[in-house]
Amino acid sequence: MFADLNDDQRALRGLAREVLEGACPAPAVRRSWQDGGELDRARWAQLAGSDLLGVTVPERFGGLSLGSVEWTVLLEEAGRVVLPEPLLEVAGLAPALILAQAGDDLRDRWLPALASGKAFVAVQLRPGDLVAHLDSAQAVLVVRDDALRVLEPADLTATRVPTVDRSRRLFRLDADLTAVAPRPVPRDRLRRVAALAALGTAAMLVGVSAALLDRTVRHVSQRRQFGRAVGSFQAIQHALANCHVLVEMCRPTVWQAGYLLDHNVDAGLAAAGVAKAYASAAASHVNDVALQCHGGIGFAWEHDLHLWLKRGKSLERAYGSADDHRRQVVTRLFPDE
Amino acid sequence: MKTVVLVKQVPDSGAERRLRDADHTIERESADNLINEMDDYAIEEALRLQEAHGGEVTILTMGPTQAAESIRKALSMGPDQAVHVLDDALAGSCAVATSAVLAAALRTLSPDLVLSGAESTDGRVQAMPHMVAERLGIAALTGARKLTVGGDGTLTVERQTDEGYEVVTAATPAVVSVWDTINEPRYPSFKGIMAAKKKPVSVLSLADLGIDPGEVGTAGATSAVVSHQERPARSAGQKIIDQGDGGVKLVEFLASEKFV
Repeated sequence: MFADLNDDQRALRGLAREVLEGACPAPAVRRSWQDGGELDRARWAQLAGSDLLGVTVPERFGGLSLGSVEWTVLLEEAGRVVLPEPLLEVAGLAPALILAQAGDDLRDRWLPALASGKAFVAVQLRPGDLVAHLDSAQAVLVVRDDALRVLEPADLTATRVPTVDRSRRLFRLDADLTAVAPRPVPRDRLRRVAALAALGTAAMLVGVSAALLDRTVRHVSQRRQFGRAVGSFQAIQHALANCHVLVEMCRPTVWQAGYLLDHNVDAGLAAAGVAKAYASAAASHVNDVALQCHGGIGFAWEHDLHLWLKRGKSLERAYGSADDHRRQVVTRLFPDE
Repeated sequence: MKTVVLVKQVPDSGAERRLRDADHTIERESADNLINEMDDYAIEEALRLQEAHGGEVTILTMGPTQAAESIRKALSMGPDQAVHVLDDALAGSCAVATSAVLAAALRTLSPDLVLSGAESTDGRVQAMPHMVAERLGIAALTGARKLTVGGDGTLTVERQTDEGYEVVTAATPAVVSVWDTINEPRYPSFKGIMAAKKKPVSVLSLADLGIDPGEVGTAGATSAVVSHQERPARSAGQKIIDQGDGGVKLVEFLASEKFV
């Protein structure tokens, strides 16, 4: 049972917040909306310099050898600043996939490079999944039929697709997979990676929700109407207090799932689904309330709020919606039905 | 080269700060305390010199118990060790007394180079580097925007001024204070934070430095704050309605404030 973060995990959270707030302030996210969310190599190098890209990479490959709880702590902070770069895939799913297969050649080639930020690797877990920053990737890890294939840029065609959140740079991947040799991966290891994808997204959603709540509390404390701050009205206070409860409940749910995925994978698979279902539902509610409490200004392109609103909306469905994960929980609870 | 960086813990200048009614000193308990911003640049410069020329980097801080947090933070950027001058009698020390304490601590460390920020964001006196250098009888190269170390150990500094910059040189040992134009401080790394936990921090008291407690603190201060009051609330600005003469009125306002 996971109770609370320890001192080292808090130190990681403090560091991640400091680095990400410095490297990715709202104007930088707004810029990425304008330039199509291109990979910011200087920002990526800063994350690498603070060891944030190798959190789950083993120490012998230059990483920190930390676990999934620490990884979710980092991703919550990435969500809080709506980081345009796909930290989830490059710093989480890619190392997990490489460690799940048996070949030392892949580990030696990619893990040190991922931890040091020198390599950028994209990931596609399921057929048809859109792939983040495919144009910047030196390799794409594609999962099909209990096997991993490593595609080079020459092996594939990348087609940019429009996104609601323009700071998410997504591509359709077309490739002839039969031309690339498959590397077998045990099915239970692949299930764990899929659960990590859902869990990491849940963690980012917690960050997005927490940031939306912070911004909204600041706004209603300043915005005056009827001669007083609108945040002094009970209707606003109760709505935001309910959001706070939701966010605070999501966070330990995410940590617990991270802990279980490292210690009791079967229980962790279910817990990751619970975390994503919970975080998606909470984020959806916080998203609505944040927009309502901002009033008309919240709809305005010029106001920063929509950077968070749209990231929240995109992540709600990424790697499984709340309903998808609830359905999986039902299947687990009633396997014979 | 042996470098000592003077690091001061200050209340966050971005947050609301309050003064205590009793002694007009800042409420440090309620404030968010962090490393004086300009000192981050001094630490970064020390680390860059160490990377280029070798040697060791020591952090020197005078401050209350909670300053230990800032010392660990500074060490997480990369310095080798730290010295914390900690003594209850130091509370309320003026700049002159602080310089005496720092100089005494520096004598025990005998550095080649003393680096510091050009000013602190709380006191903003800008005199500490000069005072420390004077007490140690060494050169003070202050307000640097660039620092280079020659093969013979000569320090060359581009000293930032309102009009441009001056080039000044001195032999080591010397004190160099830096502005935020000199470099871009690195973020700590997680490995750095973990390593900082194990780095030696030696604590020195006034007795260790041979300083009489009566010469420092509020009792020994050469200056005193006699009163303080809250900053007045911002008044509404002057509105100019443009009726074809808006430009003229704007220029008249700028002229009245001697901007044009």
